[in-house]
Amino acid sequence: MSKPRDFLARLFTLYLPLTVFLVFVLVPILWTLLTSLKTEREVLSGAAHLFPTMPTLGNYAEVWAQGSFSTYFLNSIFVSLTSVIFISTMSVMNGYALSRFRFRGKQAFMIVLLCTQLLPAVIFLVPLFMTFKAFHLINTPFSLIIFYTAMQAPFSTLLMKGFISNIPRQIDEAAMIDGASRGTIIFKIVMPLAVPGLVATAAFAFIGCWNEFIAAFTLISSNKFFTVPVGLKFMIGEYDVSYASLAAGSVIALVPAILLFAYIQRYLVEGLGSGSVKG
Amino acid sequence: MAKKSSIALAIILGTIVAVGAFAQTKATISFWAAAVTPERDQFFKSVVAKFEAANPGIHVDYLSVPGDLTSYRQKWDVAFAAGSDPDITNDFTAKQVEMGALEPLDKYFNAWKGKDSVNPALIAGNRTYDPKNHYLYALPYSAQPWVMWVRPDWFRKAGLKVPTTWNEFFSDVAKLTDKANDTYGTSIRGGGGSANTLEMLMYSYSGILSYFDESGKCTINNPKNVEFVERYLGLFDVSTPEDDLTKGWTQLAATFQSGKAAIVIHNLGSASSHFKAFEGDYSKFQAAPFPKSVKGYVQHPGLMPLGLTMSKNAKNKDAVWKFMAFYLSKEINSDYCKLYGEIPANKEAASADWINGLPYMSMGSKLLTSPSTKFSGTPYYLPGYSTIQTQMEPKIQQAMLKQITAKQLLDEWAQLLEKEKTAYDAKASK
Repeated sequence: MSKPRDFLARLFTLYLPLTVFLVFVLVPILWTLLTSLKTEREVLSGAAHLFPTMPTLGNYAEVWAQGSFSTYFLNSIFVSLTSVIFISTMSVMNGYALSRFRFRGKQAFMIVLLCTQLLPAVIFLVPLFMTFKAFHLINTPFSLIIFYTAMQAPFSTLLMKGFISNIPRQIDEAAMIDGASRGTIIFKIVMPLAVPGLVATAAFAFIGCWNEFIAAFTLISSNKFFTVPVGLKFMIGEYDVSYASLAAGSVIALVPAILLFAYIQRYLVEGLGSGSVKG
Repeated sequence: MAKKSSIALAIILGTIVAVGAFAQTKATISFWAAAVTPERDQFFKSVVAKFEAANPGIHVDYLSVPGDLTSYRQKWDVAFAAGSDPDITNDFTAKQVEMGALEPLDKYFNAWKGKDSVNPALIAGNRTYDPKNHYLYALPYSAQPWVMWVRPDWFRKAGLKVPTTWNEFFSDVAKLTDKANDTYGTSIRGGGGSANTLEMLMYSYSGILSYFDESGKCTINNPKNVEFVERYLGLFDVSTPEDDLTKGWTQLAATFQSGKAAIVIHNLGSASSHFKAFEGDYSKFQAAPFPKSVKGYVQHPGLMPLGLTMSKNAKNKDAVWKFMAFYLSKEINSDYCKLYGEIPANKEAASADWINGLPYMSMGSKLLTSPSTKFSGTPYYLPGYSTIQTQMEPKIQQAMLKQITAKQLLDEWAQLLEKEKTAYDAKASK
């Protein structure tokens, strides 16, 4: 194929669709960022316009200090990171077992794991509340950590099972011949090879925990333990919305996710790619 | 060395026990404030601090719940189901009474020295939630009248006066609409909350005072109500923005505050939002009573019962009542109502200078106390009343889009209300 034709083909099949998609994804984020730099008065003034006439960082200062966002941010970091550690550990162990072992009820177990994803979290709230109350966990970050771990572990397990299945079984067998224990095989041989998959799984688990609202809103009854999604709700009152403050809070809430994905980007692409092909 | 360590350990342990014992002598009560913003949070924190300073033996475990009332009620529902509902809420619903979640306040209220300081009409209104025994389940702290919020500058510029009759309303709305410049006479709430607004406006138009006649037939589909709904929803996309179809209050407020609509309908509670948006310029926003009904008098919706409630599960009920009575003091009630734009339940606070100093509060107070103002007998006491409104909201959108007629809409609405009333009466007679 000639070079100009080649270029045109790539333009219409790759670059243009990607550009459209990029604009579609980036414009809301850009709009939010620019809204966060406007005063409330400017946001509500007649015609909508993209760029602030007099940019201000006042909304960030207000949200962080007066809006107690610093507290919510730290709570979210603690709860999400702790949950991800538990989710990752459980998903690696479960995924390895599902990938490598044969046992009675394995298929049924996997189906049950899948079925848990069909149920909305809200139906668990009342029985969970009563259970946590019995264990004096209500209004503690640990109730959220347990809930998030339980909700995210099934899907993460299935993801890890796929990634681990791509690692040849022969590697485990070779290690066993050399005298390695099961634990050594998992942590020193399989895990390093499954790092891309683990990073992808952990990233999705983190986002799920970071963005979760209903459990954080229901199980916590003290302002000092609220998380970022609940904190953002303070900007939406009964009769009005503080759009500029809400935008500033949203940008703050985005920062960890952006930093996380920027850092793990390489692993994410590798991990998602490897998980798509069964070995 | 070992002896010194033992003595130090004994002192530390003794201190811990003493502190624990001291802490346990304080009565702890919990208070969940609904729909809190950062500004309101500061208010409630100051109330709690003042109360605790005045009552050192009581600790208030205060939680500010963000979001709207729906979110608050969902959180309360889960907590109540687990027996962990807060001792005090500031969201009073018929459903709470029906569920048996609340402690009747009569014995506390009757023994209270300050009982004559509270507007008796609001006490009577709150008792309607208990049709059988008329117990008082919530101590009212304010009244929240509904008004027209208008742009007096637009009316002045057009040489018009704020409408005092419904015919003037429809005429003015048409004259103030300039679609080319994206400005409209009014904006209709077509999204969440549409049924509540439409219902109160139709009764304001028809002048029908009761929702049910003697035989139990609902009056919502009375020909005059149908006539109003046809005229009002007929304004959609003619004298209103096209996106009214899905507007909830926040979008409606944005339409008004961004200078797109001359008239919107809401309660006085949004006053502080308008004050902030228009930077306190009263030439740009004004509260006005509803226009006169076809019967010649101004009719507003019945005042929704509001108040502080005491949970049946509360362990320190006397301490809870102390907080409730403190909340109804002149100073606290005034501060609350200034912030929320509501008329105080405390009679002294309701006649304070600050009420007359704020145009919209003065108007609201006069509206409530004027002998010529009539109020619809809105059936807030029906537990399913709000649920029926929610069910009708998609139908209102269909009527706005002319997929169904106003008569079809109101006939269905009437059927649902009649069914609810029948069930309610049957339960009340047991």
